Amino acid sequence: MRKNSKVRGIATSAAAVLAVVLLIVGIAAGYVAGSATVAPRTTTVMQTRTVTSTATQTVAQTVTTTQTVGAGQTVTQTVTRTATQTVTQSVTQTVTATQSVTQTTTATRTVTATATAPSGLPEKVKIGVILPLSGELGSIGVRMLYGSHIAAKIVNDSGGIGGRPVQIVAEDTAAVPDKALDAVKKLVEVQGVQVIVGPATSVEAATIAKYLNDRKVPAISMSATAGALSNLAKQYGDTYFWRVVGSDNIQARALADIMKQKDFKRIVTFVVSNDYGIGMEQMILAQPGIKERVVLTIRYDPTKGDYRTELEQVRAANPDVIFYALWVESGKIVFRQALDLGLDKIPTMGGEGMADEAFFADSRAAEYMVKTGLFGTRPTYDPNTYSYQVFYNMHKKLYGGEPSLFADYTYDATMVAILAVGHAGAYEGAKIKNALALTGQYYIGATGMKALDPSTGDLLSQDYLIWKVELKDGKPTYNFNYGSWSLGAGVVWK
Amino acid sequence: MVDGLSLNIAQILFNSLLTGSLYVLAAIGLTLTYGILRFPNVAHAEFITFGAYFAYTVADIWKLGFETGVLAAFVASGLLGVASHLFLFGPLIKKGASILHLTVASVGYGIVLRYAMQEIWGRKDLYYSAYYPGFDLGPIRVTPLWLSFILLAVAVVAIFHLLLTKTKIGRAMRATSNNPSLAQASGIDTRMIILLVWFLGSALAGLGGVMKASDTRITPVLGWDILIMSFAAVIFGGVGSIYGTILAGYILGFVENLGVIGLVALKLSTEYRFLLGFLVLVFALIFAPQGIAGITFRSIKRRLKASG
Amino acid sequence: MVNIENFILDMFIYVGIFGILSLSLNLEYGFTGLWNFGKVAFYMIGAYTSGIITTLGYPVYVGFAAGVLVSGLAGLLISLPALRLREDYLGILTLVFGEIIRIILKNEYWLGGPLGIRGIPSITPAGLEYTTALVMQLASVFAIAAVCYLVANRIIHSPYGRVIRGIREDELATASLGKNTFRYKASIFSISSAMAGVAGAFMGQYVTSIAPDQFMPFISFTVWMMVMLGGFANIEGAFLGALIYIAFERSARIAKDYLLLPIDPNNLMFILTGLLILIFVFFRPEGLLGENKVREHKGV
Repeated sequence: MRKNSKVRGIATSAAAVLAVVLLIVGIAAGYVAGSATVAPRTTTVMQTRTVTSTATQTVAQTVTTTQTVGAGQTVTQTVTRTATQTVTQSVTQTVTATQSVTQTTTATRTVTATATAPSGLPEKVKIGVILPLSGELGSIGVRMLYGSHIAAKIVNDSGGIGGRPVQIVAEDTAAVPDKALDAVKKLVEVQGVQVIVGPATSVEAATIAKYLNDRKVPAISMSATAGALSNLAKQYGDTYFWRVVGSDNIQARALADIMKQKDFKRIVTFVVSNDYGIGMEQMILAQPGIKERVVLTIRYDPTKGDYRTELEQVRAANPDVIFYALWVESGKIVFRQALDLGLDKIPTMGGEGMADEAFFADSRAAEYMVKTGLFGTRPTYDPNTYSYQVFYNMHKKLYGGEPSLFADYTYDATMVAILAVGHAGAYEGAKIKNALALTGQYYIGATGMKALDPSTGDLLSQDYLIWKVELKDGKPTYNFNYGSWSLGAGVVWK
Repeated sequence: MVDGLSLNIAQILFNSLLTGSLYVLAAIGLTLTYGILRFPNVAHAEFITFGAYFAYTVADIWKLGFETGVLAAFVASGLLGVASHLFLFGPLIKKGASILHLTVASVGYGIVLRYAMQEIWGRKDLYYSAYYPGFDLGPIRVTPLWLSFILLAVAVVAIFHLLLTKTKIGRAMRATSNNPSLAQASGIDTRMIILLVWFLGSALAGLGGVMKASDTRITPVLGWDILIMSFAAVIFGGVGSIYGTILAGYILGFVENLGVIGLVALKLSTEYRFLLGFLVLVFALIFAPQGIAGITFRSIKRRLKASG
Repeated sequence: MVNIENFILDMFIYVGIFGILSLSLNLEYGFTGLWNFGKVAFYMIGAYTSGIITTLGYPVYVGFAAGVLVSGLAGLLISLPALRLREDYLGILTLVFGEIIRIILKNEYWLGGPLGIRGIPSITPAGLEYTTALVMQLASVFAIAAVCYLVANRIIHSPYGRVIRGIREDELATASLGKNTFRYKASIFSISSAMAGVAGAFMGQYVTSIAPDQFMPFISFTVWMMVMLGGFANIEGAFLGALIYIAFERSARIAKDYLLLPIDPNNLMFILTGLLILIFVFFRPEGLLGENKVREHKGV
């Protein structure tokens, strides 16, 4: 086999010059870009700049909010923020008046936190966000990002945090672990970001954990639910990975309780072959009393798209319920093929990944979900709380339509990040990390209380709601009030 | 932990036919260009994807109907293949590029194509609006779409057979594949043959893309996902041999689907079913590098020798 | 707190890792004419072997040694059936081999499963200031790269190197001269696989967590592109190619924030990379640097 082609291209000297030029251009571009004073074009801009061209301005605002959380408890938080800014800028921008927000409340618990603004905070408080904006989870990730923007807008509309505007800096990870690491490194090293919201998946979290610890930059995830992640803090000696969503350890308990209560005796699990799906499968199997009921476990490759034979195996096993843990894009295909194969007579169950409207984009998948009465669990949220209403209304206003799965958690994660910066009074990862537990105690988010455990970064408690796919006015929808589950009360049907 | 008693073998066989048909459609084009130009065209994956996307544009954006979309995808993918040769591979070959350079060029070309498609159609998954509900055909469950694609693949196989054996063009194709310089010397316009091969091969790939996408979804990595299995079919069947590729495609389809039963019985992940196809390929490479075509050829030779 | 120096240090560390990978591929293809499209497989084997051993508690140098040995062994094992094949078949076989390994690692929980292996101890002591740790890592990878470079240098400027080049040019002729070409091919394949293994072992301790999805076939293609950029049969070119490709990719990621274009910058980055490859194939197919000139050693 000849390797030496008869072809010769441009002369070696020209090539050498070209090489040097390419190198210089490449490295210079990177260096210049990194230290440029020109404001980078960000992927999203959602801020109102409150800038006065003159000297000092003291803004004091008291924001009190009430929320009704669950049965009969009311909680209030009163946050008084005093901000003193001394701004001397050569940039002339339109001045927008600061808005003061006051609402009435009744309180059973009053919390006052004062964050004095700082000379410690930079001109713009950057919140880094790493999400899958493309690929298998891209369609959900893009809409999860809305949650971050909503949080930023709400904070900025009230004058920013400590008087400084919040800026969301987002990077795409495509749910791929090394891309996630690249994205985080770029945000931290090149753009000086000191707090991150994300990542979305557990495997990404596992990959970036050490870097977060080394660089002392906390990350707050909205959807990485693998049980193993609770051990990261112990492994690295400090808690730099936090999450505002409950670990799947708990969700597996909920699911197992439901299965036992419904007395399913022939369970088939059908999961996507990655950390999420396999994790769910393993955790459910580990629950007491479940293993003997499971007759078949199937893991499918989300890239292949041809699941007929697996589904045929499912049918052959003659189950009384199929438990699904899928990702949206391949999940739609699984449901569609299941419908085509006539599997719609068998009842189905799912984890939270199934509770997103993105599934309805495929009408046949939706049909399958309705016909089989798909129901499952989801980390709880109560749409009647004040905090959720704020989020929901802003989402409607800015984006129309219903929030996607985990958009509310992304909103909460971002809010926690922003508020932690305020509590820390300085834009430094270690200080922000230390402020997280405190912030969590006082923040009541769209998805409930966010009390965080500083030794693991986990939520102190997590309740789950039970949802079901139903037809309403001829269209498939989610009934998020089908039931609930909590560690104390177990399964409660509504 | 499977009570395999109620296993529907007929359904699994049907599924195998479907999977096999897909591999055949995707692999024929690959084996044709590989056979004549002697290099593995990695960008073939993008021809598959392109067909799916183009059909979407015709069927759902211009709203001309799914069938029109399929036809348009066939033609458009074919033209893309021709253009690839005219503007990229042809000139490179003329410059004397080695097989490796052509392969690497096809990798780069594939990247350009894939991200250009992402630019045009976006990264989100797309779906055809055409819907054909499933029904029972005896013991098996089918949809009109599946049936038509299997029939399509069979038709393609039949047409190719007739083309290659009965027509002048077909014979010219075989001659060029066997020995390009000799073919040229005997007056065959190898240039036209090569363009025809690119057209047919890429058109079929596009068709395969539509088929897979209608069964699953249209995504930028549609073709890439089946590229390795396509290569398996090509090599297992014997590079350049159409019959070999067809047979190999269906065999791989069967191995994959029937293998799932074995995997489940062994309590292994069903993701390993693709490994089965790979393992078939590996064993074939080691013990029968000429592929199925080689076996056939050799056994024919032996028989001829024996009969004197 | 922009720390562009960390970003650049990180970039050069990857240049080191991929430079070693490109070097190993160059030895196989550039000098011996073997088509290895499954480089990622040996990279993966090295990373996993070292990762598993070090997370079990053994010191890092044991992990590295094991990574090198196991990948080298894997290379040897693969070469036994594979090297008889014609070159493009070898390429596809190696590609498939990589996928087989990856799927197995992904589905077997005791090997890490889809979450892979986390908490791989690194060679830099804990508690070190971040930039200092990066500098240490960079120095280490360059030391390893230097060793590989010296080995490669020795190989090509030796009678052994002449034989493998002979195999590249005309295997039949070389065999007729009495050389057991298979043994040469198998040995160079093992050595290259061992090199890829050490690159993997290093990467594992640098990133401290590895998962099967980090080892997709595309990485093998990326290494090919680096070899092509730098120049076939040029061991300095291997590192040059890695540098160009990675610098280009990194600066594109940053530049996309600053350029206002009608095209989505993510797509544009890839399209430009593909075009870069095509341009090279057309105008400079032998890569930027030509083949290394052979020096004759006396009695080596």
